[in-house]
Amino acid sequence: MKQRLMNTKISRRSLAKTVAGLGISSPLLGYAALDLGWFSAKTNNELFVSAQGKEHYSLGWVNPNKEISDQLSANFRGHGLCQNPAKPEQVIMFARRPGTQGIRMNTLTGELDGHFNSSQNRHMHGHGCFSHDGEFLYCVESDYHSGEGKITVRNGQSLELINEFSSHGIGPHEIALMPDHQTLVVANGGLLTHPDSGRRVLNYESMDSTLSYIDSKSGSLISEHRIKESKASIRHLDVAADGTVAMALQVQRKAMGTNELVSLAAIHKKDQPIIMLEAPESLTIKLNDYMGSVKIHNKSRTAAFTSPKGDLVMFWHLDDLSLQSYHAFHDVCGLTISQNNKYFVLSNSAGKIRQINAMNLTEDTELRLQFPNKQWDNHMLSISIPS
Amino acid sequence: MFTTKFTQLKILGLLAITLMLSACYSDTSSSISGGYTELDRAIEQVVDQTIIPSVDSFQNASEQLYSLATRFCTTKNSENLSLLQDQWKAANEAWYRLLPFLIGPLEETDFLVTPAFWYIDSHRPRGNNNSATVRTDIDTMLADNKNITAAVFSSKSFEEVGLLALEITIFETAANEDQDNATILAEFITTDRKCEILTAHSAELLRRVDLVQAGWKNNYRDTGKSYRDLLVNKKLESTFTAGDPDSTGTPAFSRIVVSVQGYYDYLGKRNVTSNSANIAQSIWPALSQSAIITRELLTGTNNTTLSLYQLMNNGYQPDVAAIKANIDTFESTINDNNTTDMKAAAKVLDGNFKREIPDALNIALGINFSDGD
Repeated sequence: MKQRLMNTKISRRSLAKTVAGLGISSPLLGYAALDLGWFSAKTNNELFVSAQGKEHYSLGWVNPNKEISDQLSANFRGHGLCQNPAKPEQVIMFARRPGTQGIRMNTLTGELDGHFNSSQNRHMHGHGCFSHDGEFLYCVESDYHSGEGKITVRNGQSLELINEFSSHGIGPHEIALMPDHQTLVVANGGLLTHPDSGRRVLNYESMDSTLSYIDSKSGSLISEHRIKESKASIRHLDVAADGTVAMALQVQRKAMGTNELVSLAAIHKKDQPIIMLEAPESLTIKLNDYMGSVKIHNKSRTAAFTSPKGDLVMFWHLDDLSLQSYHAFHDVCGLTISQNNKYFVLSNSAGKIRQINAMNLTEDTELRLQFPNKQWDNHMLSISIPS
Repeated sequence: MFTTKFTQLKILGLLAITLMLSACYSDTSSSISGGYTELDRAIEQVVDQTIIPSVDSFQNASEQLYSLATRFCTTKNSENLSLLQDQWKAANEAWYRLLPFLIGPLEETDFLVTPAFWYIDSHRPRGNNNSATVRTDIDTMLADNKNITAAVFSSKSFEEVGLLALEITIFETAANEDQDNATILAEFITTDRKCEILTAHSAELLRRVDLVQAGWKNNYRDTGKSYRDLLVNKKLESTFTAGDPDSTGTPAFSRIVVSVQGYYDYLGKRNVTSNSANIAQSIWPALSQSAIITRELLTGTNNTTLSLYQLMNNGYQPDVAAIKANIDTFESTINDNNTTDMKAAAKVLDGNFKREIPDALNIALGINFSDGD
């Protein structure tokens, strides 16, 4: 099949709408949504969506049939994404730390249909999630005067800021809604940064990473949990249907006084301490102290973790805690579950996508995709766009 | 207004086309044929003229070490001990010539199996000094009466074998870590079992190095093909099954550059000068070999017709000049035996292999997934 990768026409309609919607002087971006004729030609409702680009950033999307490859340019490097459960055509992309912007794409039109900025003296951390009814959008941010982590609450539709509360830690990163639809779980990475010093960590000595459960209505802390190694930062997480939380860690080796290897994968179950997921030393050392993403496949009770610095994906069973398998893939980081619930979908910075059968953890090589003009960033999201 | 916008659209369109077309290629080296680029040709020469000769050199040095260990144990005298000690230093220097290239047979096996290089240099994986582990193991072997066999040594943990184990065996006494050669010789003479340990350690090192050499030149991971051929002919991904460490699709250039970068990262972060070749007091000559081989990697040899520097010179002359100066600086810190400056110079080279060299060759090593992302 001939790939339809090189859309070279610009949709005047979409661009005009975008410009009109934002105002041409918007500092946010000069959007260049490309030919959107694919919307009428689509044969599969699944899209893989991700922040992408190494120098020219955008929100990119493709479909598994390789019929679609498109992007919305952005003038910031995006990071995580989330889909509005009430309006599944809406996808939010959050700015990577220490960015201050977020954008919303309408996947039915391929157009930007909203954006938001952090308040003054705030910056984002690249992640957010919706409430179960889509009414609220929770974003992780930091007050860079006090250093305090914040969860800002925005109207799920207008994206207006309507409330905020503490993340009960420093450097909140990934956030998710628990199955009770009431509790938020936040990975407070513990790393203090300030936009004036870019991404430099300012508190290696005192860093304190926590997994915090927070009431989404009141903002009160329900419980918080730490891992034994204080220089390991809890950064990414995913929640299983039963409430088990899987965490991907990053070790701040500079701050550690030893060469001791630290497991970079962990789980937490209610009323239990955090459990580290173990692997052979020869595998753990390959990860270079860095896990970039985690995703749970509920049916198989398997959690997948990606390490772009190790070119590895690792799979653990959530219940018996055993390492099930690994898959080597160059610069892999993006990780999501396919819409048919059959595959872990992996993406890398070379524009490649692979799909691993979640039940037997082998790759279906026939589903390999390559988009040479895409450089997939940390996180990928599989969505099903409404017919 | 429409005209203005339409003009903007056309410009944006042209820009988008240009960007996308340029993004279609992972490198812009002139294509020679069948997707075989000038960079591929340069990398093939690096493999054939720099990396494989380094493998051969280390294999030869290990073979000599085994031979001299055997000779010493046959005729235990101070002359043979000195020859043995000198050969250990030569083998270690040959190792530091190869150490920047931890790819293929040295590294990429099943990740559930300990990589081959760990068994040669137990300090390299995590920067741990395993001297105490080695000494305990030697003491245990000296104290018991179990047969010292090849099978026993091939099943030892990586911390207990390799160059460090040989260094401790050859350069100090087991009794009290005495480094006086007369005392060392006396212990070998009075304790036959120590010679059994010495020859077994040197045989085990040679066995592992032989496997590495065979992997590079003849049969890599039971494919019947050499790693050299699989690498330069871009056959790794199609030879190994999906998910295998060798099927990541990582190009040869990236594998080599990332490995060298990892080496300089290691030198910058770990305490190599105090933990490695410390008893033999020969870390600095060994590090010199790393500087020499790094220069050769980029400059080429007398037989090189297309070097990486030549490819980089196309518009990146200032970077080439800076990298050459940085290698010189690294070498001069070694000549001065200055650990602090050597580590600083290594960090600079680490950065060169991360950024300037790939950039000058227009090779994307990947997105910067940095801490905190």
